[in-house]
Amino acid sequence: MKSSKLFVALFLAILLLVAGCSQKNSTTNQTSGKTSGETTKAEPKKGGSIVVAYDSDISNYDPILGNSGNDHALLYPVYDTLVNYNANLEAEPGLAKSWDTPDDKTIVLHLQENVLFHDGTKFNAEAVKFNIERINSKDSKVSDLSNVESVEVVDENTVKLHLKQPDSSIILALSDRSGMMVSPAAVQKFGADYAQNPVGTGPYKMVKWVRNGEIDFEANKDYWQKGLPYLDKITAKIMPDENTRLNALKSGQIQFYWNVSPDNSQVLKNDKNIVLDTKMKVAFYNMYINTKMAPFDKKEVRQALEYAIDREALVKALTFGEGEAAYQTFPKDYWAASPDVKISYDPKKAKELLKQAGVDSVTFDMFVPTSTFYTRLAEAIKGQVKEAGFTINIQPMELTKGVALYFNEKQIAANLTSWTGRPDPQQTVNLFLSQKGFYNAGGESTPEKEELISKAAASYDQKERAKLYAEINKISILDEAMQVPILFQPSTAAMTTKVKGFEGTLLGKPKFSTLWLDQ
Amino acid sequence: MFFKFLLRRLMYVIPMLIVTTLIVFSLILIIPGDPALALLGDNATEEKLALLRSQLGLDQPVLIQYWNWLTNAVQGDLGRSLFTGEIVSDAVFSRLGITFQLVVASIVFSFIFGMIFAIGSVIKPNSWMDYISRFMGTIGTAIPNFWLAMLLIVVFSVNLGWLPATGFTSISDNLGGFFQSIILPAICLGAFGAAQITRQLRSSLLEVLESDYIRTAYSKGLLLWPVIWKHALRNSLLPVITTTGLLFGNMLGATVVIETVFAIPGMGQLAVNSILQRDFPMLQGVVLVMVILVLIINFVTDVLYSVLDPRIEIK
Repeated sequence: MKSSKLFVALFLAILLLVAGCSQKNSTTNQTSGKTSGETTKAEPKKGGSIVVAYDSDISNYDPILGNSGNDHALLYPVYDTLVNYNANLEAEPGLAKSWDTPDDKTIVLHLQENVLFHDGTKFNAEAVKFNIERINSKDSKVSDLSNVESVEVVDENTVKLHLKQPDSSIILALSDRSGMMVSPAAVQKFGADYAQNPVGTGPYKMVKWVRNGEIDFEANKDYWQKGLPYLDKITAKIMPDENTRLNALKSGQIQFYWNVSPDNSQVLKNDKNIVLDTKMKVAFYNMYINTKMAPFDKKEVRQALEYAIDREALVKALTFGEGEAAYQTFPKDYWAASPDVKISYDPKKAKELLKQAGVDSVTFDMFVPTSTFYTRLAEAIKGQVKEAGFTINIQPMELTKGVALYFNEKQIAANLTSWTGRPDPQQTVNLFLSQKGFYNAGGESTPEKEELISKAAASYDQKERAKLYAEINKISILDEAMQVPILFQPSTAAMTTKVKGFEGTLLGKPKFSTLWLDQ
Repeated sequence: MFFKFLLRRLMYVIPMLIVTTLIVFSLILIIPGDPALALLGDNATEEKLALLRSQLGLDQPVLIQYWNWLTNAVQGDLGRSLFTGEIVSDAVFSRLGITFQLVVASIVFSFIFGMIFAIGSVIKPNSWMDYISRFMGTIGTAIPNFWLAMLLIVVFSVNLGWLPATGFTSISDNLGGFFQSIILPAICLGAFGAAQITRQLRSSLLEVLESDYIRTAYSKGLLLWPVIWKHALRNSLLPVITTTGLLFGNMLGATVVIETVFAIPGMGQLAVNSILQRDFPMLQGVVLVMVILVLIINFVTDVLYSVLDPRIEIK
């Protein structure tokens, strides 16, 4: 018996020694790495190939059939969008070089000339018409353009969208799935197999797709934007587990990975072989509450819940201060955000509100997805709201099941998941705050708020819209307390020092096609 | 004789397949969140849901849905993925090769190391070799495979840089690459098996070595090695074959974890994703192929019994 213990000890000691020694090796490497400051912007270099790791495979390569917000990063290389967005989520030219709105129910798009699809067919006004009609067809799972009544081809490079009612969200929606232009010829040729053979106008062609394995992108040599893309080849490896991504980066198998958790970003910050890019995004953690179900059918109870959560403390504890407390549906650096909405942590006020509602304590079930971060967040919130008199029964469930129970079957009163964000604030308002929005499970709203939402939809002026969104948020979160936003968390990419050109955006969806290698 | 045996075995297989696929089919339809919901997400208006459900045939009773699936499956049409539109049989078979290579490599690993440790252990009881073997037998059973995987990746991939941390190279593409990419996953997947085989073989060897015919062999003047190799091992292998057959099914299940940790695009990963997405044509395809695999292995195990011990007849 004694000697077997000795063996255990010896075995572990050897393992530790190996691990320890090699740790030292990697630290010495660090000093020789990154010396030139990253602030100086170098001229992009052409050529080379990189391997990036991404956390989930695409749900479908046909933009109108996919259903996951994670798909975009894998769609962007293949498909250009009619409109682009910049880092601050403002509209920029894409396949449409400009657009104007002669009246609030007409949008005219002026298209780039001499653009070819990967199959050699021409991108023109007819192709745009085909695509938009396809997006509004029966088979499509995208409904962002439901306000488009008809598409008129004015000439080879001009398209007019006639709207049923004013909708300011359409322009930025054209930077989303709705604006991804697929080749009409390819759709006709491949039929049901189109998703296996995607053809866009983008900087890269998809040449190989091993489901849940990897996707290979090859540079599109005839790309319409001169000088782009920089890399000859990008391979995206699907690695759902973050430790797997991290190990692959550290062992040199990949050069870039997306979605670094706050814990790991604290560790990687000190690693000189690795560069991090952190950018706040419009997605946030949110507690959905059904305003038609007890106990949330009482407004005071909902308001009490808002005041019972110490968001600043959650940001500090769970995101190491990298996040931002969410008092409204937009992060504070976004143009649509209102600067002065704040909900103070006030358990006393929460208790008073509960008294007004005629109760001392409130107990409810809350669906929480089974990942580490959500579990931690749920436990922390549960601890905080206890003081005000709330008891949360955490119900850990697999995502599809929980979402179905809350949104579709309406069998559970609360749901701690996220709002994934949209390119245009009006999309968020429509889906998340308006009476008919899918994410407003209880259908809570006021006539005043609905009017403000229609007003915002009819305005194409950013400043005016921002003011309206501030008011809408104030009514929705402070007065109605129909949603309980918790916190914003930035998205972080990790890459080796040789990888350049990455630009994080407020949307939090990476664009691999801007990357280049400094070698 | 053998043909009859084969035929009867096949007769078992068919009801087994029907029952397993029916169970899986019903289970996936029972859990809340149907494929239409998963597909539509926030575009799920009642109208769109109803339309999609009728397109997918989800509005029909479970048994009819199953019957439709079954009649197509019998004709070799497993359908298409509800999500990516891939043809299920193509997707499943392209992954089958990967998972099969992984599992076979792990079985080989388990077998070789199980044999080495077990024989080493019985040669000289209570020696250091015996202690190592018993220690390995315990630790292999006790260590969770995902933990072992992370440990090995940190040591051999991240720090030493000897082996890749992720990915898989098929044996047909590049032999060297195959060995490099398979070593760590095979160790993690095979550690439990190696431990089981060590324990099984050790105890059955010890038992056999006590028996009369072994004493006779010694008294004829045979040395230790020939006795173990020629006389004892063969008779001790029966429980090992049983264990190996069971291990195979066990490992197919464990690939779910190992394939995720090492980012290997195999059947395990496909199964998990299909469950999460409610992609039931895909899941049915995976289950079908896995069940067939396990049944084949059981069959091979039975045949091996009679090869090793002619007293066991194939009837």
